[in-house]
Amino acid sequence: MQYKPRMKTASFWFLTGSLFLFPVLFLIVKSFTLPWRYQADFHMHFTLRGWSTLLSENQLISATFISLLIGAVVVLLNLIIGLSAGKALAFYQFKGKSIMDTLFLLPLIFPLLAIAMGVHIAMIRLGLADSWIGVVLIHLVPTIPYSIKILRNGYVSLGSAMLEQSTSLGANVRSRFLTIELPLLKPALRSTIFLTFVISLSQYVITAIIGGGNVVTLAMVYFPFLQSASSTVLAAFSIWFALVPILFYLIVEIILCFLPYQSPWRIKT
Amino acid sequence: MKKSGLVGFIVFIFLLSACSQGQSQQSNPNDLSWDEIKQQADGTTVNIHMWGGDEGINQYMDEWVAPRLKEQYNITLERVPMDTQNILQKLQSEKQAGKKDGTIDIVWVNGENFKNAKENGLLYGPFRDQLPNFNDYYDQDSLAFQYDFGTPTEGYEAPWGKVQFVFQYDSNKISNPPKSFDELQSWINENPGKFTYPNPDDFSGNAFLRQLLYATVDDPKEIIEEPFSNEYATKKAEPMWEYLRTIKPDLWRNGEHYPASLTELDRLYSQGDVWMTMGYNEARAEHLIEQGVFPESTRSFVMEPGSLGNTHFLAIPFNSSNKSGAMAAINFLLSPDAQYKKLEPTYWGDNTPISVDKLPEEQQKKFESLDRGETVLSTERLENSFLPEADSGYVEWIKENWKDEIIRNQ
Amino acid sequence: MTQSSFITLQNASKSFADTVIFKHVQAQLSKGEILSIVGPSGSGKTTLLRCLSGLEPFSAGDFIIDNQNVTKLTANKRPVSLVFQQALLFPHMTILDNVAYGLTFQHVKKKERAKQAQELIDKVGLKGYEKSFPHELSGGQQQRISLARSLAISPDLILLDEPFSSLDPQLRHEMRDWVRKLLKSQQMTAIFVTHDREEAMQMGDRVGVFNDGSFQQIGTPQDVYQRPVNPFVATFFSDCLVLDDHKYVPVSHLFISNNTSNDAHLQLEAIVQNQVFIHGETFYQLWVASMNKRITLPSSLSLHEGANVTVMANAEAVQLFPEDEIKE
Repeated sequence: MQYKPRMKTASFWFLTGSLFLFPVLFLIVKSFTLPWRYQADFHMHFTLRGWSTLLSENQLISATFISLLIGAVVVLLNLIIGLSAGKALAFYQFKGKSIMDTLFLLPLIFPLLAIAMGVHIAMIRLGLADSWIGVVLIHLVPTIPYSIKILRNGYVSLGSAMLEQSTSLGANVRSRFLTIELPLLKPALRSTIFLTFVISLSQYVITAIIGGGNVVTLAMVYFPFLQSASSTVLAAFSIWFALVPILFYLIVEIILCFLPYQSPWRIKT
Repeated sequence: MKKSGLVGFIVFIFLLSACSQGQSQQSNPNDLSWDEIKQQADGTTVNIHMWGGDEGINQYMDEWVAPRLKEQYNITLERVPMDTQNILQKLQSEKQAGKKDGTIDIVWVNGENFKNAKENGLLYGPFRDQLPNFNDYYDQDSLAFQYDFGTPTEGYEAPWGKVQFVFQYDSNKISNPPKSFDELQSWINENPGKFTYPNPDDFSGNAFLRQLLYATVDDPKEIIEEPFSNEYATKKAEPMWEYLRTIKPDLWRNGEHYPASLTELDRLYSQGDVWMTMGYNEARAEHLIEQGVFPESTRSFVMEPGSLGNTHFLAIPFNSSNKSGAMAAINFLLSPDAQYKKLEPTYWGDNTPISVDKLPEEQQKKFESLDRGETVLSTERLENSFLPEADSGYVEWIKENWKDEIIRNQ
Repeated sequence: MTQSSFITLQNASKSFADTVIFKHVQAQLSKGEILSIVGPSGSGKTTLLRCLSGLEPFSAGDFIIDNQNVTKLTANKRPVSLVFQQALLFPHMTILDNVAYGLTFQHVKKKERAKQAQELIDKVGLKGYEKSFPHELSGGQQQRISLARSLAISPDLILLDEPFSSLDPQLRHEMRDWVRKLLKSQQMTAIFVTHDREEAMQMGDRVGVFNDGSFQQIGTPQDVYQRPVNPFVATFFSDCLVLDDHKYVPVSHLFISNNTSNDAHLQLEAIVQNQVFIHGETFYQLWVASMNKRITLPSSLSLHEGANVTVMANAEAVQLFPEDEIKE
């Protein structure tokens, strides 16, 4: 098979356009127009109703902030656990390592609802139910397996020799982490952060059960609307829902710029 | 409200494993007078957990109810969007863990959910008969309040609203909607492909079949009054299956495919593929027209022998930390003013279970002259055709048998 | 051995669980000296190096640098720097940052760090590359930067673990000479590990033949080559024909003949296997069936493959291994 660069570019834009750009544009248009009716007429009816309904939802802003806060804490805990567990799994040999490896994936295999129900009673007794801390903890269940997997692979591709080289040059554990591990794990960190945040943001059932309605995240407000027939409001809400991770991503990117040895002005080829 | 077999199953599992713990009621408002209850409620916060998927309902609660409740009772109302199944799930776990200071003060329930909650001791009560507004303005003897899908309410829930099953049609395409299921059958025959109903796994599709069941037996009372049993249902449902098999070839896509949900049927209707739709809310067309989903020529109709209706209720969880506040808030929600505002198409358009003839004359006039919108049938027409729901056992039974009778038996 | 020893390793041992990697290893280096450790793969020499660098702890023994016992110091605190087989440059840093990296942990001011790093970059001949990133350099250049980076922290001892093994042969030859000169110019004490005896001889002031978890012999390349202390050294490092556990003949004292002779003390039947040409001379690879060995000898005779010949040596050519095995 011969690949012509021009063909490649064309197919890239075609796929991006049809799978990403078009749906997004469609959603934006939809949020500003009345539902289109077959056999009615072919004009689009502009309306701000979707957005005004959305913004009049009086829990929208507070729910967005709570979601950002919970997501940020979930991401932070994921990084701490994922980095330490991922490193151990990547570099150390110990008895039962393969069993551990499988155990870490179990939360993805068991139905989340079953886990949440079991955990709920324990959380009530510990006084964690109905609190945002409890919600953060339950959000760790569907996220931790991913972060351990991603960061473990990050460490494997980094290799132990690179870290030993740093140690041999005099770096202690802390400075080695800051100067070598964090910057070189950046792609893995980025995936972990984004993935765990989006997973946390979209948890509805377990948030409802553990948070007991006291912790009103964006998903708690958004999900009931999926049954609503008004596609205009739903489209507006969906865009809002999608903007939250993008906002979080931008914040994270800015923070990542402060990692040591980042030179944004020199483009690597 | 939708119910699900899942909740029943979960509850069942928990009952098997649960070591049930005795639950003592604290500060039982049962022994208090209404004035004392009002006093206790003063200055408190009441958390109402309810399904939050309708902007009209949400705005009614946030914009109309909450400020007035604050003003009249000095109660802060917090609305929390949460599915009823999840609420009951949470209460069940709390019951098992022995949590006494719950965070939910009011829940919105009916049907299967109420049955499960009541049987598992998740509700506080009885409290209904202490509410002044219920005693003054509601018909205490109404069967619609005594039974909720066949389960005796026994004062554990107070009626908040009611809905009736109606059909919608496009008046530009149909001038005379059918008056009975027989006429519907002829209409379908004359207009092949222009009618269908949702799969009975769907809430509305199931209601359509229950409605049809009432119509195909000699007298709906047989079904309403007789307790559910498989044998009885099998015997009585034969004419219904016969009816469905007869219309099947003339349905949309020759009856080979049924819409999976009401949303799908609504879309077919809005695109003009079919000319009728239906739904368990007599005022639903108002919103859908306003949102531009339904054509403005949409109108409603009901058929003989009547229209299926049910009441939805408010209840108080067993471990509510503010039962007095909850009672005061529920009392307010049952008040003529609150019911009137709820009935208005502005926010919600939900029908009221209030007995209009018990209201002062001025209020009566207000209710009677209220225009619920062109698509909503008159109060009189609705009331005359009202048929209560039968035992909730029929819901599952219809789901299970429809596939065998209609899909497999060609 | 040396009185003024700068680096001393006493009775060093290492074992993982039940497996002994090396035991009772002794070595001494004076300042500025380069010791080559040569041995077959799996002999434990890389583990020895990792223990010296501190990346692995010794199981027993003492490691003394400049009268200070550093056995208990962790890798980052030891005045020892390790250069790996691969260059392992930090890909997210410029060449200058790479070389200056170790200095950041020595409380050197930023300006001074840059100055010292720049000097080293100039010294390894890569001036002008300081702002480049590692992937823009060739393999040999990367290895030179890696060395410069390890030199930058001015360690008391630098360890090199086969640093040329990933380079092509031509480059490898150039690098050996160049690295030795650089180390000497810095008066750096170094231990150089290789499995290539030629490289070991070229790089080390002394060589240590390492096998089976211990030094078989340590000495100047000439000394070890000419006077191997046991059959292993004689075959692995030196070019000798080992006759039995006590006797050997250096290959240089063997010659090939077409005939048998009465004068010769040693006569071995051999078959010519093939011929090679090195440095203008013809060498024959011979199969000595009676000893089950293959030897390579130069000869001016013209021989065909498969020819039967006799390998001879005079009586005085036969040497004895030292009676008691000297292990340093």
